[in-house]
Amino acid sequence: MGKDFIITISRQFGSGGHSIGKKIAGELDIPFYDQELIDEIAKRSGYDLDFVKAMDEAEVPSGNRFTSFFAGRDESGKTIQDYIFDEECKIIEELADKGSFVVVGRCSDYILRDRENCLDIFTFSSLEKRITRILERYGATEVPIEKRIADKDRRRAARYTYHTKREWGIMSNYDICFDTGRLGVDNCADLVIDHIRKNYGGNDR
Amino acid sequence: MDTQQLAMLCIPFAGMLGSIALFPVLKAEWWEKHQAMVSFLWAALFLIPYTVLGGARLASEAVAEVIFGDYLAFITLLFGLYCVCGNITVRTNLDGSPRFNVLLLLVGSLAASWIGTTGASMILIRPLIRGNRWRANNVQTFVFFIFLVSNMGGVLTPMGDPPLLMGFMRHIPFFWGLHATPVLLLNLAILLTVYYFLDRKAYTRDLKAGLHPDIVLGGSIIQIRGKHNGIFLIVIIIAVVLSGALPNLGILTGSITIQGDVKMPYTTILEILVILLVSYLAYRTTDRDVREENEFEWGPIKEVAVLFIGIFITMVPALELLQQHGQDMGLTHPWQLFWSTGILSSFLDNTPTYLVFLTACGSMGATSGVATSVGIIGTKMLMAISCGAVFMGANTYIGNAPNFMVKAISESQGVKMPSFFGYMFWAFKYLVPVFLIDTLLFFLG
Repeated sequence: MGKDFIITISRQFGSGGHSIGKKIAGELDIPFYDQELIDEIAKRSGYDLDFVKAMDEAEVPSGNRFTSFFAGRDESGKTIQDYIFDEECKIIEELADKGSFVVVGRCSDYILRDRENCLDIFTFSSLEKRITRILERYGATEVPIEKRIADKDRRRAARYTYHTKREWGIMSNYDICFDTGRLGVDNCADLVIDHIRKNYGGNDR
Repeated sequence: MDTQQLAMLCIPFAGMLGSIALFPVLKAEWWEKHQAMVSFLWAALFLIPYTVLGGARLASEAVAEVIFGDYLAFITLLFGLYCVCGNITVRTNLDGSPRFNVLLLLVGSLAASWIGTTGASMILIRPLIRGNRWRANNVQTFVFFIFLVSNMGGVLTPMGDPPLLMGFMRHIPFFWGLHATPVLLLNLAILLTVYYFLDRKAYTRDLKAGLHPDIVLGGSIIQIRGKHNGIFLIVIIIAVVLSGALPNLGILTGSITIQGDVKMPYTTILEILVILLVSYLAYRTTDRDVREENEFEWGPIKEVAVLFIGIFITMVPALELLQQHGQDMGLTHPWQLFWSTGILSSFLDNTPTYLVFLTACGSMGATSGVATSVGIIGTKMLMAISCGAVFMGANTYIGNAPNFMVKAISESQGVKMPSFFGYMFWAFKYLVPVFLIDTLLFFLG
């Protein structure tokens, strides 16, 4: 019987973090959570699914900007994003109590930071490689690809910093950082799978 | 007509106010369908005995004076602002947040003195409704909007509120109203702080109930459609100001005789025509989907038009009483003028109320103060009359023209506004303490 383990993956847009997570979960036969968590957050928080999805993409009220000062806050200073994040934390903690899984994004490395059985991964890649990957997977849109990447990463970084008060993409926050452009998505996934099998003995579900 | 007869003739006015107060609570559906009938019934109940006591000529002149002297210009201005502002939509991604609501109330209050309380109300009420539509606990926002934007904010210039325009036409300097800036700022500071804490508490309840705004992703913080209507809005404001100012400059001083002494000045006719033209242009030059986004409908303006003709006609004996006895009230201190002008302005049209007390003050023989065409008026006395007439219009739904309009528009878009007495309770709870502070700090002595 293997021990329970959790793999959290944070990623630059287009660096293949989602694919790596999916492959690891498939090979180890454990649940994989990315967008799936949004359904659960919507169910638990009472907010409708479209709204939670939209908020996942929305700007967070950070910095000294006009929008930050005028963002809606309750009596304790919490914003709607905080309410959603609170639910997110509860759900991820509950999942971690139940068994092994892979989760992508959602500040999960921070939420589960006190758990010993957690392997935190960050994936990055050169801009050229990310552009190629995004165009292959999602195709071109009206918005220039460089702008899409910059916007998405800026929002991810802002969201992470807003909720965790830590800087996004700093290597000391993670156990492994992969340059997926150089190593390849499959190779990165295989390295993690090997590590899990050696240290946790596979899945005990 | 003697005082006792005039007092008896005020009963239909009380009945009109009672109907507005009670029918929406007791028989809401019936009231929706029969507002016009009730309004005309009370008007008839005043006009018949008035005709019997004073004669047909007096009664018909009174009606002509109400319709051509006051009502047409009043309802045309509301109609114009309603049409033009109904063709502008404003969306933000900060919808319904307490701080942003405070910002909108502050901007509206400060704008009211320059574009009129009616103009500021009509421009901002729809964005405010749209922003707060997702919230279940939002009534305080619209009540405070009436307090601040539809009333108090208009105290600084003659463009803010019609009574002050009357004062300007009697040679009170245009910027004299700025003397009231400390009073306005104090009131804004107190009321906006109280509002913020009320709204934040309500906002917390809304979030905990799982309610949320429709977020506007990407793009700019504020999105405005139908921007070109801003030009039409400016045209309306200019038309209103010129209507008051041109005769003073000796331009277009003539008038059309309607009946007996009732005349309609050329400037008023011009103002009405310009507003109607601009309303038509706003309607024709704006995409239908902008109005659909605003959920534009004619119901609110129709309601105001129907009810206010009844109010204006039945109000006649009350104003006559005031004109007969206003100067005999023995009001010699600023605080007395502040409260008496204010309380009467809460229920009567604040323009004639202001004029009665202004005239009374002008005849007191002050030796220093503001030189007006009705005599020299002490600075504190004038400030008390101005603040009383403008501020206390917020005490009831009928105290100032935009109040009822804001109520009607809000209700047509799903906001559960307080009843007539419910609103007065809000005013009593939040405004009266502020007026007492004003009295202590500015009008005693």
